[in-house]
Order: sequence, then C-alpha cells, then structure tokens
Amino acid sequence: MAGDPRRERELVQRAIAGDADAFGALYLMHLDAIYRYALLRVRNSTEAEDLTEQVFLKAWQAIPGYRQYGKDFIHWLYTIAHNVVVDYHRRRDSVHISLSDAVIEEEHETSVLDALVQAEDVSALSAAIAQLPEEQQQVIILRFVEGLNYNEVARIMGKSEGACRIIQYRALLALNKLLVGEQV
Amino acid sequence: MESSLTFENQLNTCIRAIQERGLSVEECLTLYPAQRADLEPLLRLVVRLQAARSIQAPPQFRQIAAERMRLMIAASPRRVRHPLSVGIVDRLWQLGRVAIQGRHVPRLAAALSLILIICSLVGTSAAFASAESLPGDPLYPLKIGIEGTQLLLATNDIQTVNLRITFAGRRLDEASILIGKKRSDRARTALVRYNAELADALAPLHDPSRLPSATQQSLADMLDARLTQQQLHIDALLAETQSDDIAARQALEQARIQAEQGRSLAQQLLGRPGNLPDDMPRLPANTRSATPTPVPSATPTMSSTPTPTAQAWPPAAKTPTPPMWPTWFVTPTTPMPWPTWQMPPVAPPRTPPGWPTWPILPTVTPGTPPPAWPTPVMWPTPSVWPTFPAWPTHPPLPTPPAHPTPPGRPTPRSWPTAPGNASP
Repeated sequence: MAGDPRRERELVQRAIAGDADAFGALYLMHLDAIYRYALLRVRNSTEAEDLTEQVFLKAWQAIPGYRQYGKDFIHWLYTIAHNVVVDYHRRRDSVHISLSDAVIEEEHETSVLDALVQAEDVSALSAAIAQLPEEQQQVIILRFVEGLNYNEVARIMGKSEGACRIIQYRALLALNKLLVGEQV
Repeated sequence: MESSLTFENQLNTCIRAIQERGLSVEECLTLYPAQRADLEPLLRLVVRLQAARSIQAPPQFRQIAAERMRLMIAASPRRVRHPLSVGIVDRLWQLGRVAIQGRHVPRLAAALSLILIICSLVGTSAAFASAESLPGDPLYPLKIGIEGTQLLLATNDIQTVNLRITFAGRRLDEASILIGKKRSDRARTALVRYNAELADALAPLHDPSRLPSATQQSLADMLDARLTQQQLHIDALLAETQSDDIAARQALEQARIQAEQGRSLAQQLLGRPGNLPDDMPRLPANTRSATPTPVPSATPTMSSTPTPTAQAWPPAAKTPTPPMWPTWFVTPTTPMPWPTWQMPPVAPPRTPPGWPTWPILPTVTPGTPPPAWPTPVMWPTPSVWPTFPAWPTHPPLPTPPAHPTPPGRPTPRSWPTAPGNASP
C-alpha cells in the first residue's frame, strides 16, 4: 500500500501531466497489491503477471481522466484490475481447454503459489475463493486480504456499504463451508 | 431472521476488533461466549485470509516487469494535457504561425473575424471555459466552433488530418471523463463524434493518388502512430467501463473498430500488411455519418476485448531504433529519462526445499554498472549501452524445469543475462 498519501498524490499529479518517472514510482508502490489481487482471482502466477502488466498499462493510458473518478489511486487500480480479470475469465471461458491440460496447469500453479507465499493454506484458500461468485470473491479479497474498509470496498464496487456487508457475510459463510468440506 | 441479523452484527464487531484493534480470536470470542461455536470458525477464517497479504510479486517478475513497463510506456506516450490557459494561447499561436507561413490572409481574416464575433457574443471567459466542456454542456458547441475555425485555417492535407486526429483524441478524452461520471449517453455522443472525426481524417487516404508520395508517407506514418495510441486509450476505457454499461461498451467497441480500420489503411499505404481481419467491415470511402452507426447485435459481444498481446506490446514497427531499444535509451547525449526509477531492495526469495533457485539480479546504481555483469538491468550509463546485444536474437535461457513458460506467451520470460550473472 502507499506509505505517504501526500507523496502518492503528488506522484499521481505528475503522472497525469505525463511524467513517466512518477508513474514508475506508482507502479512499484502498488505492484504487489495488484499482483496479489490478480493471483487470487485467476490462481495462475503467469497469468497474474500478464494481467498485472495490463492493469498498469491501461492505467497509464487512462490516467489523464483519473481525477474525475474521485477515488484513491489504488482503489482506481483495483477497479481496472477487476475489469481486466472479468475480461480474462470471459476470454478464458470461450477457449476450450482439455481436461489433461487443466489438471497439469492446476498442479503446477498450486506449487508456484505455495512457493511464492510459503503458506500452504493460501493455496487452499485461493482455490476455495475461486469457487465463490465473482462479487463475493472481490469483497473477500478487498476486505480481508487487502484490508480495505467497507466504505472503500463499496466505492470500488459501486455498491452501498450495506450491500457489501451482506455480500461479505454470505461470502464468509460460503467460504467456511467450502473449506470445512475440503477437510472432511 | 432477527437472530441471523444479530449474529451478523456480532461477527462484524469481532472482525472490526481483529482488523482495527488487533484483538486475537480468543479475545473476541470472550465478547460473545454464547455464539462461540458459530463465530470461531469464521473468525479463524478471517485471520487466515489476512495471512494471504504476505503474497508478493516474484522478484524476477518485478525486475523484468519494470523494464518492460518502461519500454511499453516509451512506445505509447500519452498526449500531455496542458493547463487551460496554455491550451488557448497555444491555439492562438498556431493560428498566427499558420497565417504567416502559409500567407493565407483572406482565410485568416475570415477566421479571425469569426473568432472576434464569437468572443464578443459569449465573452472571453466563455471561450476559455469551453475548452474543458463536454458533450451536452452549454459551452460545448463553442468548443466545436473553435475547432472548426482551426480547420478553416489549415493550409494543407497534413495540417488538416493532424487537426482532425487531434480532435478525435479530444473526443476520446471527453468520453473517458463521461464514462468516469457514468454518463453513458453523453459518452456515446462523444464516441460518435470520434468516429466522425476519424472518418474525416482518413478521407484523404481513400484517394491517395492525388497526394504526392511524400505527403502520403507522412500522413500514413502520423495516422499509424496516433491511431495506435488511440486504440490503447480505447482499450483502457473498455477495461474501466463496467461490464453492465452496455451502451458505453458498444460505442467503445465501435470506436475501436474504426481506429483499427484507420490504422490498417495507414499501414497499407506504408506498404505493410494491415492486420485487419477479413471479416471486419471496411471503412467506406469519404463517408461521414451524422448519426451513430448502430451495433448490429442487440447483445454486445464482449469477447472482442483486445488480447493481452495486442495491448501489452506495441507493434514492432513502433520501436524507434533497431534492434529493440528506443533511441533515447542508447544515445549518450540524451539525458537519462528514468533516473529515479530504481528497484527497491528485494527481499531474498522464500523458496521451499527442492524449489529451483532463480538467479537474483543485483541492484545497480546509475552510472556504475557492476564490472562482472555487463548486461544492465537497471538504468546504466549510456556509454555502456552501445554494446548491448539485441535481446530478441539473444539465445534464451533454458527454462527451469519446474517453472515452464506456458505456450502462447507473447514474450520470452527469460531475460538476457551475461555469463557473469551467476546465482548469488
């Protein structure tokens, strides 16, 4: 996350004016957050890297209109990341993947994920998260992994705080059920 | 229902206590002992989810991605937005310069008269304010009028096309702002205008025989570059636009097709094979529709969103200097354009036993590349770059067996390394 909000605002203003150095600093500042978001949504480290690059390239192209959104920069990036992930899934759904390929990919990516975080259950968690509806995935990741509050999540998702609370509650129940079922 | 609501509130209270006050699960459970059995698994799940916050981008990706992002940004520069006052002064300066160079005094007189009339009617402040107006705003017609005056002053095809493609870019900017404000109807208007501006800009290319070959070349070069930028802008807008905003997405898809057609036309003139698919409708010659072209399908096809390859990697023709590095990157006299872009210290990779160790590239300070490692990864001093080998032809590193590059990747994941680049 951004360390100094004032410095981030200054960098954003410079990036809006076309300063690529400033955008580079913003990129390094938020790379981990966007990569993490993409990884948990697509469960594939290579795809997550591609999507992360796409998010920042799109952000660079669109940043002249950024001030109109009234969002913090990272929240704006999450919005772009969400749309990029949705497009990714849409494209992926239209491509036929053979069962054997899918299994190989699953095994490989699970290993990569474990290696990245050295936390074995993150892999299981992300597998369970992937089974939730899209909105619930987004709320779970933003609220608990990224640590955003209801207000921030609501602004990113374009929903009310109350709606986000309900989605979060249902998501936690569903996720717990999935994980308990896995243990059994 | 009521008990469910109560339980939800209790759960929320505990989650906030964990997130904001750092309480442990056990401490939270003491708040609601009666609900312990139901609360405990959910709270432990919250704590588990928080642990996923430790995920970081792999160090080698950070380094490669930083380099690639620099190159991509260099290959797709954005139009810098001038402050309002600078924009107006710049326009007036352009008017005067065109008049002096082209000696088109009658046209200048007509244009200046028009400007004077407009200014006297609506006032100078309105003219200034109109520059930032959007479709549907009261001052928007004035903005379009000023643009029309600029077109009147254009003295040749290159200037006219340049202005029209610039105006098309403004329509995209307007659409971007309106989509951000969730005003899809007005964004659609801006995009319809974008298509019309683009059709006018491309009109001279439909009958290239009447243009001198040098002019053809200049126009095609300029259109190719500008339309590439605009396509990227449209892609970005598509990415930002909510999936359920059908009207805006339809208009954006249409604009993207127009831009793709224009770029293909420019590339044909440049003697390059256009990448326009055979089934894509061709742009009719010299047509400008006043009404938006309806999208044939009632349900929009979202699969036309560009692939990562198309977005992430500009065409090879866009690369300024062969083999792959932009001119500013290797020219010693050019000041280093990215002096402040430094990789932060990278934490040592946490690799489980048996996991192949990736070479970690050492941090290099600008101006002092490490002698044992001639391949610079950070920003080196320009003098060391002329000997840098072209990385597309560099033999790729063998892929580590446990981390294969999946098929279909547009770019080699392996980064060229010198023989001295050994594992730390």
